[in-house]
Amino acid sequence: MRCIASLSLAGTSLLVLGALAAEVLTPSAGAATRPRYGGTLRIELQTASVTFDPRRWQTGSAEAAAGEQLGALVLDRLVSLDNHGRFQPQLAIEWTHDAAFKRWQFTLRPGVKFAEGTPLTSAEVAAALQLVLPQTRQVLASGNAVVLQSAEPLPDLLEELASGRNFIFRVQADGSLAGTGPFVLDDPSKNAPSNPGVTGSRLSLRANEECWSGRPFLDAIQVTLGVPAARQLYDLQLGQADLVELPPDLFHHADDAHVRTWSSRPVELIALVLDGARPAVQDARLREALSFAIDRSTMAGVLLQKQAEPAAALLPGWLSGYAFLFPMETNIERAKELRAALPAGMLGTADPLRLGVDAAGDVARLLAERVAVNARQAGLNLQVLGRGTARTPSSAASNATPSPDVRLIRWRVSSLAPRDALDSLTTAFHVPEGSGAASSSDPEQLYQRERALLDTRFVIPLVYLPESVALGASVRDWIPSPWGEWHLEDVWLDRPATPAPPVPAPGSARQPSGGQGVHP
Amino acid sequence: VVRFFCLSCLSILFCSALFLPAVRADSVEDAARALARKVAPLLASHEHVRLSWQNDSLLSAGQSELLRRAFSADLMTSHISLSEDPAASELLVSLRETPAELLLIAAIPDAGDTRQIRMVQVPRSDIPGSDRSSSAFRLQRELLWQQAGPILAAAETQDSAKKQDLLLLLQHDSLALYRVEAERWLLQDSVTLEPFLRPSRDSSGQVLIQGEEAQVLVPGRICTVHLGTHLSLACRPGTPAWRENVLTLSSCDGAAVKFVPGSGDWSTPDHLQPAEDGSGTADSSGSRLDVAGPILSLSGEGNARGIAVVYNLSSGNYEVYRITLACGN
Repeated sequence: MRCIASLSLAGTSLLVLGALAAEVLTPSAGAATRPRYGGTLRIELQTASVTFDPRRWQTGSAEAAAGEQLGALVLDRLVSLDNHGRFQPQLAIEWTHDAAFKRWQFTLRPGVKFAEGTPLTSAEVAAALQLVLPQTRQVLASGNAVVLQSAEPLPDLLEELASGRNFIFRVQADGSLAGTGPFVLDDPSKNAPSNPGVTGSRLSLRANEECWSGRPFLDAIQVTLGVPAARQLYDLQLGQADLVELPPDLFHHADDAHVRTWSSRPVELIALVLDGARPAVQDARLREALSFAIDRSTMAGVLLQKQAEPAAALLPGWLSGYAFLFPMETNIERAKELRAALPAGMLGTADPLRLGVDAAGDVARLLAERVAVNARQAGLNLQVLGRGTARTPSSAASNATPSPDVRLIRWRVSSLAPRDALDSLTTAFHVPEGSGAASSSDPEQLYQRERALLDTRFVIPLVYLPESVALGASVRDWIPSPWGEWHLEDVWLDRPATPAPPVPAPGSARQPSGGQGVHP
Repeated sequence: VVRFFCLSCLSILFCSALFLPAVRADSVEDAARALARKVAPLLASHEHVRLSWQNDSLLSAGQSELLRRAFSADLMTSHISLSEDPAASELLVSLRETPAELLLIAAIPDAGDTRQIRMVQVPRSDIPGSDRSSSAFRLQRELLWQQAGPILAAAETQDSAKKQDLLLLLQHDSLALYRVEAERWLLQDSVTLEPFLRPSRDSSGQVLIQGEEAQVLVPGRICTVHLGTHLSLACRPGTPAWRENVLTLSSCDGAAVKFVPGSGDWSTPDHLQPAEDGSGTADSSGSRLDVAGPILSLSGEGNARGIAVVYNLSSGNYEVYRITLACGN
C-alpha cells in the first residue's frame, strides 16, 4: 500500500496539468481532493488491553487482532500482499527460493532506520523472524540479506510473512520493541514485556517523520481502549471519534443513522469445539447429531441480522478457495434419528452436556443459547455455562471444577497462508486431527485435512463474521485490505488540523468503560 | 508380456494421476489443461459427462471461457466426451480465488454421493490482466474545465508537432480550442456557430476527432473543422448520424471496454459503467464512476482516455472530465 501511495504521488505529476488548470480557470472548484497532512485520528476499541509485542499475541484472539492492527502502525513486515494477489516489497526488496521452496533469501531494503534513527541490520531482521516463526525454521543473516531455511517445503512462505505476527522489530535493552513503521508509540515502555498490556487508557502514536515509506499523512493517532461498542458509535456520531468498531448488533443502527460503515471479508469463525478428552463426547453419533441439529442460516440471517455467513468449513472461502465444497449439514430429522440411537443415560440425553462460552460479548452468548435451543429440538440436552468456564483441556487439568464438554469459540484469521491458519486453529483449541491428515500448503491436501477435521466433528463451524467499523465523515483514503488491514498510513483527515488533546492521567479523565455518557 | 507391460504402465499412469498433488501451473491456460489431465483418469468409467463450469472468481467472462475451452479440449484428447444431457454425470469445475492464488477446482462424481476433488493453483499475479480482479480496473476522472454556460460536447487531442494537449469545447453558439501552456489552458481560437444554427433547446452535440480535423454535430447541422492554429469551420444542413453515447477505452489486458452512462435521467446524478455486453465487469465497484450530475456527452474511442461532459447538479456548472482507466498500481 505504501508503494501504491508513493507511486500515486509520482503519478500525480501527470495529473498536475489538469488539476492546476481546473484551479486556475475555475476558482469555484474548492473541494479537497488531494491528501492533506496533519490532524489526529481518534480510534476507539472495545478491548481493554493491547500489546504491540507480536511474541505475546495469542493467535486468533480478539486481543491479538487488535494488537496486530495497531502493531502494523509501528512495525513493518518483509513483504505485503496487495488486493490483487501481488506480493509487494516492504523491508525486503527482492526474494528468491530454491526449487524445493525450502531455502528462501530476502534482500533487505537499504537505508531503513528504526524510529529512533539507528539503521536496521540483517542480523536484527533474522533475530526478529526467529522469535515469531516456528522454531523448526532457521533464519540467518547474510550480508544485506536474510536466509530462511526449513526442512519442509514452504511454497506459501510469502503469504505467511505478509500477515500475522511476522513483523520485524528490535528488542531494546528495557525489553520494549523498536520498529520501522509509519508511526511511533509516544511511550515505548507500553510495549515492554514487563507491561502486561495497555489497559483502560489511551495510547498515543505520532508520525514517524523519517519512515522509509514516507511520512504518513496523519500527525498522530490516539487510541482509546475499553470503550463499549454502543458508546463508540455514540462518540463517532458526536464527532469525538473517527474510527470505531461495529459489532453485528449495531450495524443496522449505524446504517439507519447514515453513519459511514465498512466491513471486511468474513475473518472470524465462531465454532463449537468438543473436548476430545471427555468421555461424554466420544460417541460419534452424538457429535454428528449436534452438528445436524444446528440451524446456521437462522443464526446468520436472524440472530446476527445478516451480518454473518453460515459456516460449513473452518477456513472461510476467500482464504481457502474450496470452502464451497463442504455441505451445510442442517438436518433436524437426521439429528433426531442419531439421537434416538444413542444409549440411554448418556450425557446429553438425560444429564446435560455443558457448553462453555470462550468468547466475550453478547454475540457469543446469543449463539450459545441458540445452539442449546437447536440441540433441544433434536432431543439433546445442552446447558450453557457462564463465560470463564470454558477452559482449554490443559487448564482444566489443573483445576478441580469440571470443564465444559463443548466450548463455543471465536477465532480470527490472522494468516494469509491457509495452511498456517489451519495449523493455528487446531493448535489453539486442541482440535484433534482427522485420520491421515498432514499439514501441507497444497490445496488438495489442505482440503483433505480440513475434511478429515470436520468429519471428526470435534469442531463444528457455526458462522463467519466480518470485521466492521464505522468511520467519521472526515476520514479520507480509507483503503483497507479485504481481509481487514486498515492501512492507516495512507489515511488523511479532511478537516482543519487541531492540536491533539492532552493525554489524561489514568483516573483523571473520562473512564472509557465507565459508561458515564448517554448511550444511544 | 507386452500386454502385461502396457497394463502396468497404464496402472502407474493412472495411479500417479490420482495421487498427484495440486499442480502449481505456470499460466492460467496451462492450469486448465493440467486440471483436465488430473481429472481425465477419474472420468474413464463414466459413459457421459456433463461439464458444469462456474466462474466464481473475478476473472472476466472472456478469460473464463478461454479456460473452459482449454480444459474441454484437453479432455477430448483423453477421449472423454462431454455431453449436454442433463442425465449425464456432472463434472463441476469452479474457479475460485484466495488472497494470492487462483484455484481451479474439479469435483468428479464418484460412487454413491461422494465426489473426488482435484485442484490446480496458479498465482494470481501470473494472470494476464489480473488487475481486472477485485476492482479489475478503476475508472478515474480528472476535472479539466468547468463553466457556468452550457457545454454540449468536448474532445481532447494533441498537437503532434508541439506535443501539446488540445481541448475542443462545443457550446451552444461556438466552438473553442484550448491548448496547454505552462500548465494552464489558454484559448487558441474560437469560431461562432451562430450563422449555421437556429435557436434550439436541444443540448445535443458531438465532436469527433479525425486526425487533423474534427466533425462537429449539432441539431440540423454537420460541420467539419480544421484544427490548425486557427479554426476553420464549414457546415452544411443535415440530420446528424448521432453516435451512441458511449466511451470505449483500452483495458488493462488490452481488450476494449465500452462504458455507458447509467440512468440517462438529467435530474439525477449519473454514473459511468461498463456496457452489459460481457466486455466489462459490471459488478466491480471500481469499474463504476459516479459523477455529480447527468453525463451529457462522451467521446473517445479505443484510446487510453476519453472525455465526459457532466452537468453538475450541485453547482449548476458544466464540467469536462478526462476519464482514464487505471490498472493496479
